[in-house]
Amino acid sequence: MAYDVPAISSVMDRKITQLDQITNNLANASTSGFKVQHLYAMNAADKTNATGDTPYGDVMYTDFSQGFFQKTENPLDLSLQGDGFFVVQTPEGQAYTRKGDFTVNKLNQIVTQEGNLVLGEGGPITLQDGKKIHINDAGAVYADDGQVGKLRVVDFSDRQALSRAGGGLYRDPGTAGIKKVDKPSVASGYIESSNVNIVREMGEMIDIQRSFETYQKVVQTLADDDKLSTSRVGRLA
Amino acid sequence: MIRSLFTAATGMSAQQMDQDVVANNLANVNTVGFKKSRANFQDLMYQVYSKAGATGSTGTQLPAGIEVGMGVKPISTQKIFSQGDYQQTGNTFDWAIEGPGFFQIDAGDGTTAYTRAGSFKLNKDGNICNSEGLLLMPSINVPQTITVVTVDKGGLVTGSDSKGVMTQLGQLQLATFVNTAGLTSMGRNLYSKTDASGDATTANPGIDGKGTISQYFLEMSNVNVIDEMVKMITGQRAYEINSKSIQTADNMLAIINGMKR
Repeated sequence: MAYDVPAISSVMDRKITQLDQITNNLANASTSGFKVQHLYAMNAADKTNATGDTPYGDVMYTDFSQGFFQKTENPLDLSLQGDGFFVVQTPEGQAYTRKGDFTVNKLNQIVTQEGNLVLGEGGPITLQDGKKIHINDAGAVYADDGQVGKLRVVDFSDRQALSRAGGGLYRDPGTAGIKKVDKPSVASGYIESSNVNIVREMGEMIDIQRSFETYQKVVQTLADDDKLSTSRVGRLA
Repeated sequence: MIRSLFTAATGMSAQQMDQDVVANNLANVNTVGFKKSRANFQDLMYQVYSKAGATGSTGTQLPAGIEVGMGVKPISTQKIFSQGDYQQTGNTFDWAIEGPGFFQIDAGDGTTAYTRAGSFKLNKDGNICNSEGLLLMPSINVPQTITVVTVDKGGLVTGSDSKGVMTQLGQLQLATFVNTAGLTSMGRNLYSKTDASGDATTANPGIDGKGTISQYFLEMSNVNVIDEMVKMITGQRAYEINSKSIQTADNMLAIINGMKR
């Protein structure tokens, strides 16, 4: 019997997971601040070529590269140029995001669309009624001419260690190495679009489907071989 | 079944909703005082296959886990209260607000509605009302003897009769909100307050950051046709590509079924 069939079907299973991931990337092609992620498989050969202690197995990689900026003219639409994350207070603890389509709640505090508080360096930032909001490059928030707070912007030494919480939020399991960004570059009136590259996702999708087909052929070939061995063994002519 | 089928469906329905919002914006491109909406999306929860920091098959620690997202959902539709362009009409009762602030309208059911559409009229009793006949608040009456009505920047409404005698008819008041985006659209150019918007604070125009009044002008819709067209194009393509995910998943299911002959 061909013992390779279960091994091949597990590889096929992984292709399905890869497709699921690509579909999620594509479904979020219009989600601001979204970062694409891909599942890579490493085999033993990759391991020998890899330097250091790169593990063997499936590796998930989030591409934290910048999405392009969309002008909105809404002063509370914020985007970060370069590295960094805004800090958000959620009921489950602090979370980090690049999805800067903020708004205010009825207490006049800056919040996310889900209503979670956006944290400044001194806690939540409260705006003043009737005063014009202005947020400068460094993330300082002004109501008319008076400064009412400064947005907290952090980064991580190992961003891949962040886990996703949905809603554009990331959580630090404690191993990501949080650090403060001293000179953030905040653009007010702009929103960072999703960094999904549709061409690349399409390419990956084709690749997945074709390799899936190949695996199917391999399984069929193995099954044919089995059929031959069961029907011909023991026959003389 | 492959999860992609359902994930792509969330993507398609989100794009569909975005198109609905764009279509409504475009439909109101010539509506006086109309404010455009924007749909905001966010990624759904993630299913964790293996956690970061877990031990892998060869005993090493996985630096990153495997988590697969379940798609996208609309989180809010947000009104964008940016200023629309002004159009000069020369009509006495066309008033535009320069800056933030809303006119207050008596909704007729004891509540107050708010609007930016300043195309007012007089009803048969000489009271200033909107195009639907709902009264402006605080109410202002224009007696029949008055021939010319003027409104200054600060919202003071003055009338003069045929002999040129000036009378003060009333004072306009504008309302602002802590969180303007939290207002609910009632349709017919009217908004009503919600818990999220907070209560209205009212003041005379020009005071406390309330806008000022320009008579003989109307505020046009703030919909930018080009922006909406671009959104429509990107939305359509995104819809298409999500349908490709469904096709791929479907093909893969067919391949699975073809494995056993």
